[in-house]
Amino acid sequence: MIDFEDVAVAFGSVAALEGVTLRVEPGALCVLVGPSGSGKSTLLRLVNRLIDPSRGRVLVRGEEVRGLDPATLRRSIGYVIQSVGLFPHRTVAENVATVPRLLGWRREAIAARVDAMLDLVHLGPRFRDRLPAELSGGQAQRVGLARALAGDPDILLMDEPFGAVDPIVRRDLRAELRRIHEETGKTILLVTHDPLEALELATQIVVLRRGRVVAAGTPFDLTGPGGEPFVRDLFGGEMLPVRRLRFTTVGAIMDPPLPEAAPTIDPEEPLFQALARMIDTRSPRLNVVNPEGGAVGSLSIEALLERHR
Amino acid sequence: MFAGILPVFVAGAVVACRQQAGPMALGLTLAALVLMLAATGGAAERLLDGRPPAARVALGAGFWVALAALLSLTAEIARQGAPWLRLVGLGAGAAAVLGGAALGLFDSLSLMAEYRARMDGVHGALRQHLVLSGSALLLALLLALPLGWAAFHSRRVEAAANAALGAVQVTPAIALFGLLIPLLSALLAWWPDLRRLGLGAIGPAPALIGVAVYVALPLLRGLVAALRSVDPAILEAARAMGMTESRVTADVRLPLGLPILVGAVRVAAVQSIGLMTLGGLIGAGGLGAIVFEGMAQFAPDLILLGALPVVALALATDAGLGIAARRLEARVR
Repeated sequence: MIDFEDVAVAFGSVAALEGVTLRVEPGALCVLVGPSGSGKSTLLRLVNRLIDPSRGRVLVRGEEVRGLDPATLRRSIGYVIQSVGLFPHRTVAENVATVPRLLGWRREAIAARVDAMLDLVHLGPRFRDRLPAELSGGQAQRVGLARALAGDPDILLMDEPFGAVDPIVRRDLRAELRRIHEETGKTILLVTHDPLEALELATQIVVLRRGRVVAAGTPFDLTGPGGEPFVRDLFGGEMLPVRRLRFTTVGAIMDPPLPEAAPTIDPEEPLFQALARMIDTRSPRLNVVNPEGGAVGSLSIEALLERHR
Repeated sequence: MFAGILPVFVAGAVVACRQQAGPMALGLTLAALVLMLAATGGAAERLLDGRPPAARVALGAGFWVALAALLSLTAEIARQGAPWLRLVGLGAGAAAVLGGAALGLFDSLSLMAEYRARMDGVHGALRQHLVLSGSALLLALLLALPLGWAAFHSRRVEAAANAALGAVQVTPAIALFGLLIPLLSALLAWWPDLRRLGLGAIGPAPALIGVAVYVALPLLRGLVAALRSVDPAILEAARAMGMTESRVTADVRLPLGLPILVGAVRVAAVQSIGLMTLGGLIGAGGLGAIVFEGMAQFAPDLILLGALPVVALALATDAGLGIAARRLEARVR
């Protein structure tokens, strides 16, 4: 869906990106993570031509972006930034309608789309006529997301989208984003400096440092044994084995069911939930039960230690 | 005597009830205003009784001080009160003064006598003044808007425009008008056909040009400030949504910067009205012509007859555009 081929960007004599080659598959939620100044925002902005590379090629849907009209390209790509950037003189509905209007949709189609988008981000129709100044930080961010999705782009770019909201709203918005990603199947490219946010959201993680890609892969791959010290430190050092419990489900490593009574867990839950449940109930063994109530397996602490890699 | 004392009593009563500055206080102040004007008119009539028709009664400093005090009291009460109170106050005040004039209450005052004698001249001058200041403002806009647009895109143009208009700004207006006269006559000598367009070395042309280049500076700075005032994050969002640069300007920069631009137009309009008074010196006409005629004849009433409408015009313009600016501000924030 998005390809970077040996891309370099220089601002004056300062190199922001150097030799970046990367492919983002359709439907991926690719998270760019790294310390500030690592070039992750620059990489994101290459996609909708807010920046042009000084060397190399950027391809979107197989076409090199340099040959495309920036305005047309941008209307086909959603964009969300940390400071939201809602137009303060326009209502929520008008803000959301920005791209459909630029695309010249019919009035009724736009109105229906605005309602659908506000619904998608769980804001009711009563928000339609509010001005951005009347919204909380979290609500504004939801409107920003609705606005980015309104033109029905197949690609969504998000630059630190949850940076300006408090931790609780942040957690809600992350869950919301995962849900929207699953529901819509958009290709999402997201920038964050928070490694845990990357682990929680990504189907694909790209770690950047000083303008270069130092690691790329699934969260499971990047938290595995071995690997570069910088990457291991970034994702939590000695906490890595625990963080990794997120990426395997109970169903993947469970034993056949046993008749003895024990606390229960769903097979779709990740291993860290199983471990938490064991600690919580002071039980070394759990019965795995599907939502219909059928016993499908069992999981012991020994099996978890042995099989989780 | 009693003309001076009465308003003091009423004003005292108003000050006493200032704690609740409301319709009551406003009514009392306006009553004091009308009473003072009527009593002054009555006193003048008595003084003139039996004198030849050319005799005049001029107003002393005490009257003007009392008038200024009452007007500022009215303004203060209106400022504290609700918006409707302001409108009512303004309307009632204007109605009182106009009504009093219609009833002939002030007929014997020299200012009124002067006004009656030159009514057509004053009205003509007022219209002319409005047209001249309006045209100068329009000319300044025609100059400042494209220049501001260019200055917004290039720092070098901005520096040059600021330097040129700043140099004009520090030149005294009279000197600038004086400079424009030989420049225009040289131009007309070189290209006489321009005379047929109504251009002259003296008269409205140098006054219009002079005032326009004066007020172009606040307009230029206002436009550049308006265009630059928008939060960069909003601009980035607008571009990233796929707005073209002209769309960004029309849909984002201008609506968000409009209050600043209207503020600049407000300053320029008031300046234009005030500066145009000097046009009277170089034959442009307008209210300035009456002022300078009065100065030449040492006739204070004539000076006031020209100056008071200028002040009123400037204040009304300032207030009107001020309301417009606040409305816009409220809509944008």
